[in-house]
Amino acid sequence: MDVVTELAPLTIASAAADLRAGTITSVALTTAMFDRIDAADGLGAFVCLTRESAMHAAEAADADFAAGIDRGALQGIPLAVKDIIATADAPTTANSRVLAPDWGAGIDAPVVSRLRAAGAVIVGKSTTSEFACGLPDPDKGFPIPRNPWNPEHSAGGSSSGTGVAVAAGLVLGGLGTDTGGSVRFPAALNGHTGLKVTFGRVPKNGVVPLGYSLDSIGPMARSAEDCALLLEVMAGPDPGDPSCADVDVPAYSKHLGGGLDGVRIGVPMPYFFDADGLDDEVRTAVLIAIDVLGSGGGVVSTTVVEHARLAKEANAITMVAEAFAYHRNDLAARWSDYGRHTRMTLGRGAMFTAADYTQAQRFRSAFRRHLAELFTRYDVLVTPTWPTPAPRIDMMASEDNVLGPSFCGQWNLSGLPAVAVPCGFSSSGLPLSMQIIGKPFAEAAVLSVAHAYQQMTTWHQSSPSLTVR
Amino acid sequence: MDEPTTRETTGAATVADLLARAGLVVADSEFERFVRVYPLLRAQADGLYASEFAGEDLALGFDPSIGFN
Repeated sequence: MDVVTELAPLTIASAAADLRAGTITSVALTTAMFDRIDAADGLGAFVCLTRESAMHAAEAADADFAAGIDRGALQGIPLAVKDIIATADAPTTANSRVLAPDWGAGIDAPVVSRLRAAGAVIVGKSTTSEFACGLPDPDKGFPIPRNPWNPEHSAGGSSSGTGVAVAAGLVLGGLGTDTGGSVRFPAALNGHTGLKVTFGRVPKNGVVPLGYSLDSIGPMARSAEDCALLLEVMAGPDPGDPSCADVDVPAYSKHLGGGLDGVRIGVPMPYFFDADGLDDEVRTAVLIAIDVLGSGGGVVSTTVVEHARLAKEANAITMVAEAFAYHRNDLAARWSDYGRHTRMTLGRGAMFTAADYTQAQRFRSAFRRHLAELFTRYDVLVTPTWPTPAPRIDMMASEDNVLGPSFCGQWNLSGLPAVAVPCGFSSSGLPLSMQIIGKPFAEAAVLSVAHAYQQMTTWHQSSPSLTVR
Repeated sequence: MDEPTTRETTGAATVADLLARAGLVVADSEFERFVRVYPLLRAQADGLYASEFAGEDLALGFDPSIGFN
């Protein structure tokens, strides 16, 4: 085994400081990242690398620093982009043999354009579950993402590659998308921070759709502070996305110092802490994390999110129905070209009626109204992010998300922001995670609570040994 | 008018019909998996028709002005 021991700066914030102090250049930082990516090829984090354009971007960032031009904290920072988001310098595959090879060719999605304009260095396209759903199929020829804490275990999904890359220190941050947990699931399993934003907070044109009324693009990074730095560049309306909200974008990173004094924290015990399938170590770790929030000044009380299980199911029905509309013709014509897990997930869209979909949207109104009332009494809710530590890759099945509990889909259905935050490790050495949920467009509040927690703990600083064959 | 009559069907027949209507041709093993999971999917959808949601409107909106000057 080779062991790559030289670790580049762990966070965007610290790298940004180093770049401005002149103790590192973007070219050196980007080169170090590519060295680590090459060494960690077995983790399957990337579908393709954009070395040439990345090095040009790094050189441009350094030239700007030398000329006194400062575009903000992302200038010169190496990032990954999930391979369902269009980038001009690389193909977008959605990790699928079905997507048209020229899909999105030659264009940057608005969110990518914003990152580039801020001086970020895009190092490549990170692996995703095919079309952002399902599980990897080794027969389709795409890299299989592996958990850097134990490669026999899952890296989660669907934004697996960005999750692996952030956790293993192959990049300092990146983009994921989230329709039922796809930013938070890999963040939880790989042990870093990941923010599912309010629906409409970030323009999603230039992204292969999954669930039209649920999809969001979110930042994935080691810390809440880094997610804030990314989001303040990513957020804001774009005329190409009619569902994007024209809501002011705060300087999120400037709102992190508020602490926890008086913050009303609701802990919904039914379902989120007693569901069948919730791992005891996850439950215990999250309850301890909540105690930490309380010791920091948060006002903690238990509460109830009504119809939490139904909300998870309504989200799943909405997702597969909307996805099935997009994929129906290709599924009929090219069933076997889809991955074995993807087609079983998408095919479930054929099992529901138009009335089922409509009823899910009627339920959605009731659920949203209930949450609006709940959030008059709380500033944030806290739950586990995922019911278990990372399962073994060979133990996963496409029916898992039908049979098991989920603590993520409720917030896609309701459109609320939710951040996954590392909060410990299992006895087998796998990361554990809590989820902090807030009101619509209250990303600043959830990130502030997450940041306060990360000022009192060090879980988010833990990093797996980068060992490769 | 004839009296309404409940017509019995099997889960497998229902799933076969749904797949056929969607134009999906799947392997036997995949068909069996759909048949196994279908009752659960049906129960999940049926759960959304509880009477307490009978007065709800759709959460999704429609703006007829989009695209007009």
